[in-house]
Amino acid sequence: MAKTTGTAETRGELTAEDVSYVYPPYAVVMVTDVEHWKDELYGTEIRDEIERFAEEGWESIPEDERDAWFERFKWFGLYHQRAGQESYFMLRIGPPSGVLEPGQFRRIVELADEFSRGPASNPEFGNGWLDVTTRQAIQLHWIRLEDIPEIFERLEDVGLSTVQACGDSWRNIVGCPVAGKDKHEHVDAGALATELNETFKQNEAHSNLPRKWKVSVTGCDEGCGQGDINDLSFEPAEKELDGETVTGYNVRVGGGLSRNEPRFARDIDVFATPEQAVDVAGGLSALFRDHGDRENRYNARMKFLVDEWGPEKIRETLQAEYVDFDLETAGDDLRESYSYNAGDADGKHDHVGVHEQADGDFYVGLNVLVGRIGVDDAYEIADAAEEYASGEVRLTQRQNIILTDVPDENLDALLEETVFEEYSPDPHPFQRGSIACTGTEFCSLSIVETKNRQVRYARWLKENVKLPEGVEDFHIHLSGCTASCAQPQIADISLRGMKTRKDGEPVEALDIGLGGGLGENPQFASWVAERIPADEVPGAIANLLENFAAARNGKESFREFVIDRDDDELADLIEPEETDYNDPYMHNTKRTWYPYAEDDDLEASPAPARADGTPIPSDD
Amino acid sequence: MKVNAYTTLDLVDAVVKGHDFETESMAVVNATAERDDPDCVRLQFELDNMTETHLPAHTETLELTPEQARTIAADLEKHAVRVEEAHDTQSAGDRSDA
Repeated sequence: MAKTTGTAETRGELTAEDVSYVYPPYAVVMVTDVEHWKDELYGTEIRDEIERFAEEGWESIPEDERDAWFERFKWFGLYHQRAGQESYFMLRIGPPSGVLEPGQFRRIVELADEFSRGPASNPEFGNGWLDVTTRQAIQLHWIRLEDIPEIFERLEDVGLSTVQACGDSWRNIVGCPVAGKDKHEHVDAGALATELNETFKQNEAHSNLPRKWKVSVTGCDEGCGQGDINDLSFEPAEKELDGETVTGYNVRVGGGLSRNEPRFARDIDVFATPEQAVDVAGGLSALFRDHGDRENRYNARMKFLVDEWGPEKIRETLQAEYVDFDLETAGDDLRESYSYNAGDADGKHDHVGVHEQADGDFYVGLNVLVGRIGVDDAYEIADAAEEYASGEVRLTQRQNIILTDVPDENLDALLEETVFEEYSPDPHPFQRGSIACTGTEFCSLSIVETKNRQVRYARWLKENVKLPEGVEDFHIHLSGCTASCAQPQIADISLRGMKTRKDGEPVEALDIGLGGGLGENPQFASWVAERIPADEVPGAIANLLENFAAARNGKESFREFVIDRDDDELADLIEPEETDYNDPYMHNTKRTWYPYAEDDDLEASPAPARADGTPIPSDD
Repeated sequence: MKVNAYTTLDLVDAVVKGHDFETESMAVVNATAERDDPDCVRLQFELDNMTETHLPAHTETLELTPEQARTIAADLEKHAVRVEEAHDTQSAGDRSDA
């Protein structure tokens, strides 16, 4: 039987908390060690060491140096997987704004097909897939160290890279995935995201920051860059300069969701022209580099520096020490029209569906449930993108994909492809609105299984629950712990991993929050119910929606409904109950080597393994 | 309090007791120390607070000297053994009844 809740050993705090995806390798790592390791070797020089270890094999990494090396490997987009999966890595590829040029998506699919195969199958997804993330990246799992140099080369052959996809530096720059094509575009966010990427990736002055640095560039009037939850956010704005109206960006800093300390980015009253934006970004990155807290990783993110200093001091310091021109005050923004993931706003809440581009072609937003695409399906999607469109595939922050540049005359033929029955441009709202993090399948932070569970939730809700009249968008985000990789606080229904006891046994459970979302006035979910056994959550959602339908005022939106009520009242509307929903992951999946293996006990793990997959016997 | 797989205990039975109330609840417990130059051992508690009505949502942190932390650890060990032994005796009794 799985161990009871918690673990017998005292674990201490981990280094990698507050990471969008975490695989701290072994036991406790001191934060001072992380800074020390980074001082010794960090940045581009890590590549040679990865190549050396790959050449010599997993066993060549000295056991007492693994923590240090795995911390450094993150800079090249590699996370060592969790306990029970030793010697396997997750590899993250971060294309700026999620734009994969023709040929790039296919290359990733080929690499997933060839190298991302695990020792056991996943019952929902088989073996061999790719994961689209909430930061417009793609993650491959079960990668062997020995294969990494070849994977790097084949990515580079098509212009892709894993550089700084993880680690303490500029992460993948997120932004409007349909930049350059979008009718809603006011300023070319794609151009700025690309320029920032070229300037700050492999840039020694910005390679080693106190913590991760997440940047968002929004160019549209729908707010799809989700700037409010980033360390640095550029948002479209206009300002009159020297008698002329100039289009550019307002700047906000210090957003983020993790550590149970969510913050929205704060307005520092700066307008930057597209020409100034790179200097402003560099100045703020340098300010964070020099003034962020390197003594305490839990206090290191930009949001805490903004808490401490306030937006005014950030602006004053930026002006005095980090830019050599006079900063403009903020211009007029477009936040009033933001609709992306905004709960009750008019307008598009995501990119799913068929939408006309500015040039008369169309883009087709496809729903990818929990972001995961099996390799066979992915080949079919790549084929369709090449046959009927430009071959471009773009990734969204709602774990979905977009095929761009579909001529009107090809639309019908494209949509008739059978693969788009599953990856649909017109999915059921419960599938369309679902996001899930990686969970205990691979992540050592998570307390609960997530992706398969969310797939099962969506399936059950679709079959059993009728959405109240007029509700077409309904977002349910499931995150395995407080690190908040699935962005749970900005969903209609927020689910966060926990444990409870049921019939005397410890079981996986979820806290439930309600009413979060972005938009002009973003709001974090209010956590109103604790430790609901995971198998009672679908029943709780069904009852909640029924209660909402009965009590709402006319066509009041769910978010408005939540805002109008206090937490106690809302808690009463959640009535957890068992239904015919069946949850196969109620046991303590974090204590398995792989939650879906026939024998999932940690002792049965086939890891670590050699390059050919054969287990390496333990010394003791 | 953040809760993830590195939290010491994510599910502990708890009793909240005051002059005029007594509630059974659950709690999260974490033992930790500052990363940089720690000056004390922190033992942190957070009672489930969304539905608990007597107390405002809060966490409690004991700041322990190493000696105090070891004293608690030793006492916990001692009583853990007693509980296990009592349980074993009871189990043996159950078996002899069968």
